[in-house]
Amino acid sequence: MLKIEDLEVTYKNKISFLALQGVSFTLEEGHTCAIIGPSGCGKSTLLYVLAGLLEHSGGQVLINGETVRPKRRETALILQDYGLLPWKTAQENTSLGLEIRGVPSEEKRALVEEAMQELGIWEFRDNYPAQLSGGQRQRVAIARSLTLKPDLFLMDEPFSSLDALTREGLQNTLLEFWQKRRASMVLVTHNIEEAVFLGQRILIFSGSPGRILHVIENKEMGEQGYRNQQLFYQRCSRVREVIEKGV
Amino acid sequence: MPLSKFKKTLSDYSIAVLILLVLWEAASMWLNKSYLPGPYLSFLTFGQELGRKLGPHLLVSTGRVVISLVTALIPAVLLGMVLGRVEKYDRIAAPLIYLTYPVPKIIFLPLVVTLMGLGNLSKIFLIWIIVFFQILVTARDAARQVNKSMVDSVLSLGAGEMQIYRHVIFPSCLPKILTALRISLGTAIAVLFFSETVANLGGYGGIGYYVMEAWARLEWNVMFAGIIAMGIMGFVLYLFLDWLEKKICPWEFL
Repeated sequence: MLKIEDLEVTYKNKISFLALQGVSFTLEEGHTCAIIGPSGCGKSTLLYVLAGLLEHSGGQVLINGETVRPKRRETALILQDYGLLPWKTAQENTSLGLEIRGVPSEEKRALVEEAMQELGIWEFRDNYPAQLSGGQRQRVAIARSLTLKPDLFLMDEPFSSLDALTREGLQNTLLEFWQKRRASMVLVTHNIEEAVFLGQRILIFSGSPGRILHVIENKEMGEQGYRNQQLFYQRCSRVREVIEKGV
Repeated sequence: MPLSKFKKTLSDYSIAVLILLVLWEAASMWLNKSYLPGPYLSFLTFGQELGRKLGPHLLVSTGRVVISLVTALIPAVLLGMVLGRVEKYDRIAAPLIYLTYPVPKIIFLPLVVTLMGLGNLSKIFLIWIIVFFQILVTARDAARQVNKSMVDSVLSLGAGEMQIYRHVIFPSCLPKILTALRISLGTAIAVLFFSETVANLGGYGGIGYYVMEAWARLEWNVMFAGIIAMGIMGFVLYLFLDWLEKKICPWEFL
């Protein structure tokens, strides 16, 4: 379970800048939450704090009752770009997490093949990232995090550079995967449909300093054919309304 | 490299070699002086001399270049990557580098020879100190430019600092380091020639010594055999670096 209380983050460069203030929410184990808001509202900052890559200046962040720390092994972080190393093939990129953890090579190979098969990219294993499409690259990044059997997925606009159809395909893959494994998921996005499709709870942020403006419950997420239901469109409209008018 | 591509490369090079030889022959005929012998005589002498004195001189020179490049490369790359990644070390080192980098190190030749003698050590050290700085600066600048999100994403997989260097910083800098090495190779050979002409301690002095000696005896064809030897040495080392880059940076050639 993820519990965030009164979180505050200040960047201290030449001028100090308050990026997040008074952010509180909880995410029950195995649930998903989407974070949406304007550029510069601190969405990515929040994710970096949760990943243990950035220190917070106030408040509390608890993951399964423990204060957040760098290199928590069960946390997976997926970024929009640069998650993959250009000098490693798809297979080498997928096995990077296991390699860093010193997993024996037999076991590593098996886990990597399993994850790459699951995401349909095993046949591209010898390609370098430059030889893969955007969608395939993001599948490699997801496969890499799957090999580590994480219980918390953090995703920073993972599909934002993909075309609409590829993006929907990956959203479906992600949903199927979540329904099978029930890991907790925090998804930062600027795409309203994506937030409604993948978030059981939608947190709408406002900027400078970033804080939660509104929370929309979206319990129907994951239902068969949700993307084409009336309710889905209503939720999207509701989210858009809050973002535009602030209520 | 597929065979057809190899043949094409070979024919491209043959044409280039032919053009150079024709220009050389033309210049030699036009000048018609003993101090510019034509390519035929020069290559003939080169072939004869290689089995006599030129061979060992060539080996000595090649050894000096290779040893100084390798021994400069390793510490320069390691130190450069650390300086590029850790700002507090760079803050100490940067002013030192900025002040010393533009000083032409060749100016220390008399001092180096006085300190280290006329043998291999002084020559290798002189090349070393020049190449070391060139590669150090390149490696540091390359390490500074490594994409931060790439580092973050590997950190989030649980990587320690050493693994960040191994999986991210080093491969990211590698193509630039190889480019620096190629440029340094030219510098190294130039410095080598210079240092070999200035001082020698018995035995085989290297190509620089060989060329200067031939010059002193006015044996022009022998001098040109030495020039050919140095040219071939540079070319072969250059080809090797080319091959090495394709071998260890395959992602750069997709």
